[in-house]
Amino acid sequence: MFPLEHLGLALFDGLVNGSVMAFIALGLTIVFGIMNVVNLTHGELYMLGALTCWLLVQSMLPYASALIVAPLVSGGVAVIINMLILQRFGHEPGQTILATFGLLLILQQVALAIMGPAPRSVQAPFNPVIELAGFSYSGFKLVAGLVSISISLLVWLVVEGSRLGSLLRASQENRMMAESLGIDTNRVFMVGFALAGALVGFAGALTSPFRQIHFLMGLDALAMSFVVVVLGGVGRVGGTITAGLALGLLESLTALLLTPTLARVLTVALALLYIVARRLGAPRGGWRY
Amino acid sequence: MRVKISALAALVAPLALAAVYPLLPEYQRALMSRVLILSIYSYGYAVCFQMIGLMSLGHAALFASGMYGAGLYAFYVSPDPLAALLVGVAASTLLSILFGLVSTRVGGSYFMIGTLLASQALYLAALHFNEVTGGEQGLVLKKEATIVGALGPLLSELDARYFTSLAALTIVIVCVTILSHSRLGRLFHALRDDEGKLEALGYNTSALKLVAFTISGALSGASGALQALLYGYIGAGYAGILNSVEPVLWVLVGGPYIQVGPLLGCLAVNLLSDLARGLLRGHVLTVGAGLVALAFATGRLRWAYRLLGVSRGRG
Amino acid sequence: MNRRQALSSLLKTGVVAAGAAGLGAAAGYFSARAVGGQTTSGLETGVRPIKIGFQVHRTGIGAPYGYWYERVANAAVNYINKTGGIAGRLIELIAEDDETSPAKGAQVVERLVLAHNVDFILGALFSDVVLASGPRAGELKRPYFAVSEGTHVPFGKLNRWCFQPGITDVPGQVTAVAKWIFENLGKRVAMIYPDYAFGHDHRDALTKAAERYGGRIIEKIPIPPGETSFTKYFTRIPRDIDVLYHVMVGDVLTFIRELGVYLGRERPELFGFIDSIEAVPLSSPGLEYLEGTYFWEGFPRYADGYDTLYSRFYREAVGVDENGADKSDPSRVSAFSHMFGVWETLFVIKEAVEQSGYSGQTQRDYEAFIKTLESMDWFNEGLWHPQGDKLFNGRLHQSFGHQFISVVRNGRLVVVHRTEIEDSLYEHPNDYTRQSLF
Repeated sequence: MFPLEHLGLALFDGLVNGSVMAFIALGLTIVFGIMNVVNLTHGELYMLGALTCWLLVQSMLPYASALIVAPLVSGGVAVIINMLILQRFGHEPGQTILATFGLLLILQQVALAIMGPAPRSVQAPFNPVIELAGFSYSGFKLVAGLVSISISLLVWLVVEGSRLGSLLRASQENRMMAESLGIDTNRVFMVGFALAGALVGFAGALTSPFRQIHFLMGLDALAMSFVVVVLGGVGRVGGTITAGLALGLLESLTALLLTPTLARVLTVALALLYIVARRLGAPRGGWRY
Repeated sequence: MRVKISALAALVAPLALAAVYPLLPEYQRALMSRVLILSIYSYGYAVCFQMIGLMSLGHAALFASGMYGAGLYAFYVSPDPLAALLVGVAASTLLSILFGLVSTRVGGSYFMIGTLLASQALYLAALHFNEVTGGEQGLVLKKEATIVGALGPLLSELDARYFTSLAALTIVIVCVTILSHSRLGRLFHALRDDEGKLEALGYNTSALKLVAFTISGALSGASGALQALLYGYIGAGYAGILNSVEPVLWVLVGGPYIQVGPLLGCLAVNLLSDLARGLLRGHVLTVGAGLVALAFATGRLRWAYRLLGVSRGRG
Repeated sequence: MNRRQALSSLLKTGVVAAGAAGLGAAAGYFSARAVGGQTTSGLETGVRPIKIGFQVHRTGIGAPYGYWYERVANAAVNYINKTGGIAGRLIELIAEDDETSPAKGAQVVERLVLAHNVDFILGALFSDVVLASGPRAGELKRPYFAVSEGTHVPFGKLNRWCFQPGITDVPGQVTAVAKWIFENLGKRVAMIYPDYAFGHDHRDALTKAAERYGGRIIEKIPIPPGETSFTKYFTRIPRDIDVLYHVMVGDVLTFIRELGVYLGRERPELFGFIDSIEAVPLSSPGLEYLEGTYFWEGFPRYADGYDTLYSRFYREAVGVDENGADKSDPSRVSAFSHMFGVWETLFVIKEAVEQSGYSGQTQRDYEAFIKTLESMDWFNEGLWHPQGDKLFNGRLHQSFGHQFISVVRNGRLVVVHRTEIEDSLYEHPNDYTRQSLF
């Protein structure tokens, strides 16, 4: 049917793409999954990370500097958004949706003003073409995939294992109780936002050498992140990682068998079926995560 | 007493819109025609979002199914606008039942993403069968196939569009108002507020959700069908994600009273965007800022809590 | 609920309704008065200007093109106004952003005609916007000039009010270059294209051309829009082909990068369309793989690719240097292969107005304008048509012109062939002249 090396490439590329997808979605798991905030600016924070990387490289600074600055920028912006806007109305869902959608549009236009409408790219700091079992692969992309999965696992340990995770959940689930126990919920939310922003900003810089940078790139990242977060079970970091990897593999494998558009349809349909088949979230009162 | 007053406000709105027509300049008449059609979509979305509290991100597919049903019928089968309209509504009703059967079994975020994925699948299918649907580029309907064409000898294009959409909108407002005051409507509200209790009382909550979703989808599809038959253009762009997100904004902005809220929200967002476009170069930026401001403004309304079923202070 | 509460909720609803109505009225008042967007006006006392509506992709996915289209439009209007205007009347250019969206595009047409009362409309590139806007223009009885490459105008999908005289269309371009490809690069071709109108136009045109010139399309790979990674699709590229024909739009830099890794050094000839990298510098990281590959160009980006008195004048007027980039910002590369269409279209409008005696927005004036335009069959190369001479088909409302084929050598584009107009001609049964105007 198809030569075996194509299968190898499909699996490999699928896993790399998948781990990158999971990594990008990670911040959203924290903010949406655990903290219950519908943050529509998530994709734009990713774009800001990539934009920062481009600006630094344009200014003749080494690529590695972007890996430090980008998370600071995106994390900073996330914290500012939280402090100045979202916190003011206590993260109410309806208002959060309106506000973050408005911010999405604003951030896009700011990016357009800074970088112009044409797509941009940056050179990878190193990029040997690696020969694997019958196919070639970009060395940098492979490393990016490894970095993505490593940091994702680290975050998983930190959030699920340490106090941070339970603090985040407690602050969201029952604010009053948490406050009465002496937890500064505002501070906890701030940390959550900062972490999520930093992660996705870092992802933006990490993926820049093999993806292009464009002022509209955030929308796609946002939609994809939501899908991954929900597929993996909202609020479960481990689930997000698995879902990302699975989705990446699914995309690659379906593309082997079908024409590209049909492959996409199949991927989407299977993801949908999976959500339904789990019959999760049997609702008690409508809008519960 | 309160019930009758908000219903009254709902009936006043169409009369006001008809009365204001002669006062509007030509461009505003054209703009309002578009907004009125979109308001029907807004009402459709509100039935799902406000009445049963489920936030869908896939309503563009339901809008588009009405658009494609009507448009493809008028293009390939017979240039009969009335038949096409019926086909469009039938198509969207059918799709809503299918979507609904599948998606109303899950709740909350899963429903949100489930509907998003389902509508993505439809969008991709429209692209895949682009020989029939025209894909992203779309198809242009012949004049005779459109409602405007059919009303040609009687009304000018502007008049035909405005009053056809106003007539359709009025019917929708009346239906939604009646629904919200009916027993079924009260069941929907109960469903949104406390599903567990309703189930305990012996009601089939899944069936109720399906019914609501179907009504919601049929209305959205009617909007899409009207769009196709009044403007003569169908394209896959209308099945995209942005078209699913816009009604969320309209309904949120419009406020708690489902009888008038969807209309007011749709009017407010669209008219303000148009105003911004007319005055400023950076209108997208202005719309963004406007939404942030609106988020603050709607702060006082406690309905946001009830609307999204977030339980507060109940431990 | 008591009476007071009921009254207060009625009041609230009433206030909101009144507010919305007020907003609507205010919107009406202000937009009727506002000029909207960028305008170039130099009103002489007593002489009414000719208002030309400009539908621009200022935001959205068409933004790179929109920026340059607007620059060229302003440059052309300035030049025309400085040299006597159109029939002694100055042009007032009224530009509005259509957000590269079909729905907004149709609305912009309505605004331009109903609120600003323009005489003519031009500017859209993306086919879906053109297809949604053209019918509205036809209804509102205003000539609509697409500056797109789509088959919407020539293939009869629109109406008699729609024209595309300033730029050639994809079937014409592909027919012209196909001959050269099959003769010089090889006959066994695989195609990668986006799975929508633009890509399908390429697919259909190349397939027809292959039948005509003896080529063979071995594999067709349509890519759905919105993809950010393409490696998984490359496995479809057959091993034994002479040419890989690619017209990807979207994440092009990623596409080329990944293609380079996949194909490696043992690659077939690559033939692409500059659309993929319009407004993108060749020096962008990731495009190194393009060295030695071929591109269709509509108008060579590098000045030495087609150096005439007229092309130099045009380049100067629009502020582009010999590398095809913005004179004041060399990192900003222009959409050189497309934007000339705006320049040439404005001069076609000028020519048609002056030849037909168009003076106002009456039925008679527009009929004369359109019939005169339809009777034109040739545009001479010159300051008005710097890209080259054009054959205009009055039945199809479409121009046919010269196409360029370039190779990427040492990081720049070097022209290797300029096609003849006859190479690009194709047959189509469409005939707009049979349609009634009113």
